[in-house]
Amino acid sequence: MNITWIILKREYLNIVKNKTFLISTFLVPLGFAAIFLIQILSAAFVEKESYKVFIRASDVPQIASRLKPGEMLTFEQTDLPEDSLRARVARSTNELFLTISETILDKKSGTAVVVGSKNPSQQAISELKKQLNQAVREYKNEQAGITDTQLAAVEFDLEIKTRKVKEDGAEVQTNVAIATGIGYAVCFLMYMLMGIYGSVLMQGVIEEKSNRIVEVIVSSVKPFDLLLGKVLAIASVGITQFLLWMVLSLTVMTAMAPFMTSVDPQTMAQPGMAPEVDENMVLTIMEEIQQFDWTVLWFFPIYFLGGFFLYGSLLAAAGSAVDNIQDAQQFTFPVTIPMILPLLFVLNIIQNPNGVFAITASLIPFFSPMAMLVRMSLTDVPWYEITLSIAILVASFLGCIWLAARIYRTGILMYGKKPSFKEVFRWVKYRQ
Amino acid sequence: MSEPFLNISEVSKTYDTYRAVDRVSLKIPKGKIYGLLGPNGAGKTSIIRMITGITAPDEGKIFFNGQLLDPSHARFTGYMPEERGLYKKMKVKEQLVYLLSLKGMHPKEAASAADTWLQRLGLADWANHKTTDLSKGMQQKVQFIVTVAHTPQLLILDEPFSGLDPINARLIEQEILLLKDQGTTIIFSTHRLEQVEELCDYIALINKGKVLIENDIRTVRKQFQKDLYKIVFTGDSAWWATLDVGTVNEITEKHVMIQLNPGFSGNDLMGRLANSPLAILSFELHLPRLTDIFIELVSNA
Repeated sequence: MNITWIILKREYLNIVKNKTFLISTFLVPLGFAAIFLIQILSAAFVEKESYKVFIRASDVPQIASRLKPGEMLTFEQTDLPEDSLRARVARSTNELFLTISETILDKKSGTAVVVGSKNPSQQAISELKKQLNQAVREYKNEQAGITDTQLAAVEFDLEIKTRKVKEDGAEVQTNVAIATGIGYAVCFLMYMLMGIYGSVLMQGVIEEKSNRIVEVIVSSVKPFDLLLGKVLAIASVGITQFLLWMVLSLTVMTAMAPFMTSVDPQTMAQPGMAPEVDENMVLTIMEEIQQFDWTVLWFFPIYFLGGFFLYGSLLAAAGSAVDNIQDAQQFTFPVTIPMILPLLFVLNIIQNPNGVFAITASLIPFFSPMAMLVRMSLTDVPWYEITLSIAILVASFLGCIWLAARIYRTGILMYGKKPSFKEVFRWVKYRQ
Repeated sequence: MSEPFLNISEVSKTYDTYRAVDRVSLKIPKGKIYGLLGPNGAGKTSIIRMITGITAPDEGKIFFNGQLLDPSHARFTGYMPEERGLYKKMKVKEQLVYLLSLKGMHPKEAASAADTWLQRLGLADWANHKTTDLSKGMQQKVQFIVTVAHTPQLLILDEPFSGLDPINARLIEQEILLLKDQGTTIIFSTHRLEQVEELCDYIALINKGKVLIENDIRTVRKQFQKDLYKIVFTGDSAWWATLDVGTVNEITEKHVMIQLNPGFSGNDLMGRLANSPLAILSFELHLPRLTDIFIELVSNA
């Protein structure tokens, strides 16, 4: 049996049989599903609230009289003095006292003050604002002699829909907000997987070195074979986890589908969101998610492997140079910086996925796993850019593995004093 | 000596500017116990790492059973490093099978070899326990199994008895002698010279990366013997002052150390003793301890 295969198998099973792996694999998608479910449920079960709003009869009656009662708000004009109104609402939980400034009638904007025993909910305030704006507009239209018919004639509501057109002429509906969300998610997931599995690899190297098993092993196999076996094993674990997440997410989605369609999107949208928001938003999101170009997911494992080989091998080299995890920080710091950078400039890529910056970032091997996937989820990246980006990534990780292997074979046998960067680079030149 | 099993020829190894091994040549005969002796930092581990193929010499050559050493010889070598190491969380047998597979054994073969050895060293009940659950002595035994269960032709044991209690040390010693009888070539590396003195057939004393002396242990001792005799006696110790063939080196109520004067032999001394008024209880040539030889060599260098 091939030695690298034996090592790969042990390392792979060692991690996959570990509770941490099982928990993270099964809990992460369930967690996402739970968050989604909680949002739907909380939207469906928001308690209905209603307020009675008092307005003094002397207080801008032109406006007050135009306020229309609804499910949430009812209005009452009253002659009670201000002090007793204040005292009354102070004792009540569902009564409010509204004062409107006179200036509202001739200025472009104005303020109204609402007093209650506690702050009314966001929805109630939105509703009140909507009513007041409506009333003021009606009043001003009347003053200007504009009739409802005239008003209806000029009313206009524009919505912009975006469509991607493919080379074969097929059109795909897209939604920038959702693509942005997916872009962020993909970028973060990539960062998480590369970071987690990179550090799993490094810890494995440090563990073997600190419990001294490594000297027994390298008397049987070449250090490069050991390193290769470990890197491939952990890469396989990452791919396994990704695939399981996909399968589980799909299962969960399918399981939840009948439940989701049974929830009326209008009910869902109404209480949770400001009334200005399109009430069909949730429905749109669901449609858009379905229409998202999921082929980008095929590239996820490819870029994960590239990024993991690149960062993982460098982290393994860092691990081999030290005796314990605390000392490793000095070496991991310069490796993790380029891993974090894409998270900081991902917005620049999202804003202009075909700009010079985005294209450059998606070619630089340290950034391309995250940058290219973000671009791909937002726009159609030309095939030659993808090919070039992957080619550069492959060449770079081969270089990194070569460098790492040379540091590793010396580092694993060095104990005691924490080496400096200078020493580590000297190891690269060592003959074995 | 016939063709050595392991022939190390003019081997050097330099780390940065530090010359850890300096033109070392060693001939390790087949089926013998060979002591690679020297203080800490003498270069023993560097030499061993080259023999095990963990590192390669900068200069010089190593021949394994007549062939130039290459990675394929790793499976015929068993190496127990000074710093013992096992996967703590792996089960004992699983671990043995894994490490033996890396030596090129088929997993099935490895499993049966592991069973045999666990049985032999009294660890059969522990096969499915995690290594970390075992006592330190038991872990040492597991380590020993890892080193020998693939029946290596060359066995390299770095400080083989460190960390072992007397009973386990004895057990391991017996196993080592058994392996020797089966024809295994064994290299002991240690800085505790007195510990392996009785076990080694051949020794090499190493200091500062250089070989001070290498030979059959009896030859070495003979070479360094000083014509010093230890005599246990009863009677009037004043007589020793009249001895003409030798001078008193050390004297107590019961024994005396006599250094022969130039031109006289042990027989001359025995003749004088026969005619003395003393009762002689024992008479022996005092052989130098390896430690003494080592100290002498180092101080002369």
